[in-house]
Amino acid sequence: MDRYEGFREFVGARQQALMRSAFLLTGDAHLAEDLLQTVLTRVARHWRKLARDGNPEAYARRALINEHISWRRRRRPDIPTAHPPERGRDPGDDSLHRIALRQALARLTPRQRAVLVLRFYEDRTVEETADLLGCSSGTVKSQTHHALGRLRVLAPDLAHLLAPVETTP
Amino acid sequence: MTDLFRDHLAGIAAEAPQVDLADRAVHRANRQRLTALAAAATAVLALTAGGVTLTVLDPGATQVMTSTITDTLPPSGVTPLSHAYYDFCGEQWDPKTNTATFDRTCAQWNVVTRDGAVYRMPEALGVYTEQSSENYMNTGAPVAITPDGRRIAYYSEPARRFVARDLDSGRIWPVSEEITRAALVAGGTRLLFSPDGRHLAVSGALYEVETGRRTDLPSGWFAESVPAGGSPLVVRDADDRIGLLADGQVRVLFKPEHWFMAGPLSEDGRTLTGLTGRVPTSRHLTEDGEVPYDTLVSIDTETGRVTRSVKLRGTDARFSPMRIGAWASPTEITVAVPDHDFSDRRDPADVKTPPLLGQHTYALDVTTGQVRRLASHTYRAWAGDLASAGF
Repeated sequence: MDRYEGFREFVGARQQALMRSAFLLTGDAHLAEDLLQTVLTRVARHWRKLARDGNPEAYARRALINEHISWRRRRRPDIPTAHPPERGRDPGDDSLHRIALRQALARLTPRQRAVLVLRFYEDRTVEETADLLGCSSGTVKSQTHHALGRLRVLAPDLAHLLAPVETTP
Repeated sequence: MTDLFRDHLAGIAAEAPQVDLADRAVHRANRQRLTALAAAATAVLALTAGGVTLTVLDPGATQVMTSTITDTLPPSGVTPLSHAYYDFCGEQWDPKTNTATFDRTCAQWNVVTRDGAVYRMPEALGVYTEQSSENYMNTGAPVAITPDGRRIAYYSEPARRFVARDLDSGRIWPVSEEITRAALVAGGTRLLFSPDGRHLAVSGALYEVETGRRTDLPSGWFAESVPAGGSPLVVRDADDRIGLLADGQVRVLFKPEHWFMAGPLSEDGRTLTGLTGRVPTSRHLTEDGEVPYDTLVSIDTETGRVTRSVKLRGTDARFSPMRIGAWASPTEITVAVPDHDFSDRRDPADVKTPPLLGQHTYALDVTTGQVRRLASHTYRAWAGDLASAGF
């Protein structure tokens, strides 16, 4: 029997969704690919067990977060800001906001990024996020508060995006 | 507004590039699994060669290959190869009689990475299953692997030509004129990579791999050794004359009086290294008691004269190199030597277990004649072929 029967199908179906999360977590295409490949290799090594009685995607998502947080040493320095978005342009320009947000996210700690990605990109509850990060709900709430506060300091132009977020349950 | 923050996060996420990671993940998982197994099984394996005990630390170097390989070569991300082989899955094979009973996979080349992963390579033509018993020596299509193991050349049936492939990037270059399978089955072909993998000699032509630029060899001459850069080419003709080909012209160096195997040129091009012995070219190489190659010679490429001659140390009549490869160090050339001992070590009463076939690679010091074993590659089969990286 093929040791990896069904693995390629799983990867084919889910890798792009996982890659999007990895990209948000790392802020860098190469690092994201590296991170996801590390995670998928781990999934492959445990594939028989995961395919038989596990939830491969849940395992992969948890591994993605854990691996990302433990990657501090490999994390690249802050994304250089040689070409910051110019002020005075149309404040509603989405692409400029996106660039500013990317740059601000890059300055957060891996754990702060993970909290924001899980809560506001993957739309997970506080409890789910706590479970994935291996911490209490209270810690998730305080981490979220600190992460958003830091984003506001790093990117004052994004304040209008961030203000109401904190009130979201 | 909250939705806008989410929208921006989704917008950034959507910029993630497309990826295709399944094969690479499987490849890495296999590697990790095999490395763990090899580390658990044996960290150090002692081999005995010519009375000298050598220590081999590369687990891939002594791996015994058997049976069907299920994983196929990933399109990219493959680590350097140590060798390739085919083994008919360890079953008996007689040309033209039982070829139909062979599963197609048993006639394919398998490649082995230095870290021990093994892959089947369906894209490379292997055994000519239609071969006639009269022409049984021409068993299959050749492959060639560069000394660094990063490139492999093979015959692609869909492309109807030989191609070279970079194993890490997965890039493939066609590197020969069109040639049919029938032509290959009718006559043998040899592939010779330059040490840097940038040139490939196929039959009577030399190709620059990445551009496909072709240089025809003068009629009647065949490549013996391709240097980095592709020129000058060491060539031999049907009269066994040895020459150098540059700018379309062959300059004949000498005609050996004893069996001679041409090796690589020195880096400055002033010396040609070769192996020779005491067997005159008028006699058959494999007559009883003859030692075919026991001497390393350095030949001046200007005069064609021998400038240095050293006897190999610690070898016997069984030491019968089939091919000379590239330089292993500034003073050592590499050779590939089939090992007849593998089959001698079998229990004579055991007629069901296939023998161990394979070859060793050695480094020979051209200044001292010292012999140093580099690796041993084996597979258990009644018949087959093996190509080590660099030969």
